[in-house]
Amino acid sequence: MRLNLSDEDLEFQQRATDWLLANIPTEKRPSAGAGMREYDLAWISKQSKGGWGGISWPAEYGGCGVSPMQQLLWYEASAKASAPPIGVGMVGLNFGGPTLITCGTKAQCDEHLPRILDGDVVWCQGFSEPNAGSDLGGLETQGIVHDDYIEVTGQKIWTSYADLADYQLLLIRTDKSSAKHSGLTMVICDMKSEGVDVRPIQLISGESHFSEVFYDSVKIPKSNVIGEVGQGWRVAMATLGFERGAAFIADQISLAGKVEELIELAKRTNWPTSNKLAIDDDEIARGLAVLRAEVSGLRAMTYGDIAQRGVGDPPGPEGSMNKLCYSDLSQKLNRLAFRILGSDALAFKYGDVGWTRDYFYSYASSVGGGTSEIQKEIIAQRVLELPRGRKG
Amino acid sequence: MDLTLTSEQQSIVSTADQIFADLFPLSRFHKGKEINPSDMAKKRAQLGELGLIGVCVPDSDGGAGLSLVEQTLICEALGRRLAPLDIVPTMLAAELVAARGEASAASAFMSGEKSAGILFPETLDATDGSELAEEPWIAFGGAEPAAFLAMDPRMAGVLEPENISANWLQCLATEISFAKGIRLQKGVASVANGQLFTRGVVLTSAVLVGITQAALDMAVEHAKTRVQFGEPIGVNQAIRHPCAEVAVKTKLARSQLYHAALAVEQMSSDACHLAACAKVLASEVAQTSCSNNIQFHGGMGLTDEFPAHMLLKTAHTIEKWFGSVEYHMAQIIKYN
Repeated sequence: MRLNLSDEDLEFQQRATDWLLANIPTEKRPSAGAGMREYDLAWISKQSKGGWGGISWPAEYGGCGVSPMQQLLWYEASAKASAPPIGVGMVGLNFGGPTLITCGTKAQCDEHLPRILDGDVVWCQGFSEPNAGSDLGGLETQGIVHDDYIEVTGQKIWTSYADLADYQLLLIRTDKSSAKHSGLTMVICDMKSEGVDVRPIQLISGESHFSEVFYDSVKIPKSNVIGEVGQGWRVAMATLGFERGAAFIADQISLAGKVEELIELAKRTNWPTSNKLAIDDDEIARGLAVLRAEVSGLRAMTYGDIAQRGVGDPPGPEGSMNKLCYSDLSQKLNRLAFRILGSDALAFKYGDVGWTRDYFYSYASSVGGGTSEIQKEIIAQRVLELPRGRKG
Repeated sequence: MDLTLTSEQQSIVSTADQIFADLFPLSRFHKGKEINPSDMAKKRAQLGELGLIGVCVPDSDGGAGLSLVEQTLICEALGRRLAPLDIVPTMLAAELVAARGEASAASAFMSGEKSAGILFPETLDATDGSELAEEPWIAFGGAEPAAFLAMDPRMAGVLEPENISANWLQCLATEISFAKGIRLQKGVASVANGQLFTRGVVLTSAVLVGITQAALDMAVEHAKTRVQFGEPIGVNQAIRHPCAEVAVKTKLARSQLYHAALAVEQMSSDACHLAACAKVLASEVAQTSCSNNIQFHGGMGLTDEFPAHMLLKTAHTIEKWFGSVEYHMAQIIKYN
């Protein structure tokens, strides 16, 4: 066990902080549309030019090639410096790129990786379907395999940034006759292909980052298959491993800052009884104390996991433990904020930013990227080694 | 920060775990199987010989000279095996008297010859930090403690038992007695030693994490083996999901605990805050884990014969030592 960072890591942390403070954009980030895309891509491009592109990617693919610990330090420094979020770059940098690196061909890597790193393109991810949510293996979007292309027909849903994306990591069923998890294939879908129709969905928090995507006889060249036809499940599992891994750390880190903001808010917000401030109410104060303790624990847990993981190791079930902890904390934090604000929290219209928007958005944290119920199943089976759950 | 146990630390954990399990089997909580006082003295001497009591006393004073991190791991094992709680104040008493240069007194605690009880002010923030307050104090001790450690968050002193007039009550954790409303004579010899109190916060959190893990392990084992409706009860989400939640919160509390132990050992400026966070997280998850364990055992969980209740009762007891959850929550929110 060791409390402090190694000299090498300390030096990295300082270098990251210095660069971030000197380079963070000063303009406000647009919250939607083409403006947001342009803003996010410009920030990715700037990081790439500054030598910080692809923080979690190996050096031979143009990434930083730093250890998991230094990736964590980068995310922490970014959050502390209030750097913009990864935004529309999320799928390309965190899932799409790493999936190509792990399972793609050299030609696919050569074509796509530099453009993802330089902030030229946006990727999205087509996994969930109306009838295949937690039960991803039940997906039905059909891919008919022809000599040199696959013809895709069907529907995906909950696709983040589909309306702004150039490419999609798309999971389809190419063999109806085989068992559930076999017969799937992962392809790269060009979002400008004929027959692709994107319809944004508005969420309870106001934004429309999610879309439905419809495919009507979309022709995808066979050279766009990642792995092999029929190997889609294995490729998807690699992608989901990245989703529950280091990429997620950025969200956790910004949570710590939000707890401090909320404590400040409670110190200046009037409480509806006896001329007190919210912080003077015992229940509110204790709620905030528990949040502070839990955020501190989550940070120690994340550091502990990262220090144990070697370069290139995929995250294990600890990713599920982290995610469960994060979503629980995020929801508790936002509920408490909603309570502290009292009737002021009711003033809200779609497009607003702030605690009320965050409160509604926090409901997504226990659904997106695998529901909390699924995370608990993973923990029950893989960590506690309980027998498989009841099916029906 | 790196919370990975070194191979030396791993071997301390397995040794401590095995020793506590051998010396203090859970069967001792059953009527007729209690460990009699003379056997208890022998068992303490064995702990002393193995260096488990003087773990943090410097080599030069006859201790093992290890850090708070190793002591934390030992206390976690103590909690997991429900070993007697008064080992914790005895460890701290050995450290305090050794630091004051009282070699023979330190050696009596370290060897297991004598055990120490502990006193806390009933209201922790009532002290002004210049000397130990006169009243009122609460005391905890095992069978016939040879001395009492009196501690508030800033001061620490050692008292002879004859200087304490108390009306002793049997505690939930059956090997412990306690008494309230104790008055100390003015000007009891004491030294400024906030560090020792913070170490106590860490060690009690460690015991709580150990108890939490024991309750989770017991619940999971039962979920795998207890068959109803033709299947182990662990196939049901009503059982498996709360187990998964406790597994996550246990990991959270343990991570915070190790972080706090490292920070207190190195006297980081945020050490007290991190220790308070560890105490809050450990107390909360201990309560959940021990309660779930009783529920999942059904009728068996309600019996005196089955040890699930001792996990809960011991957790409730040690949670009151070195500041209650409410005290530490107040400290956490005041931290700047």
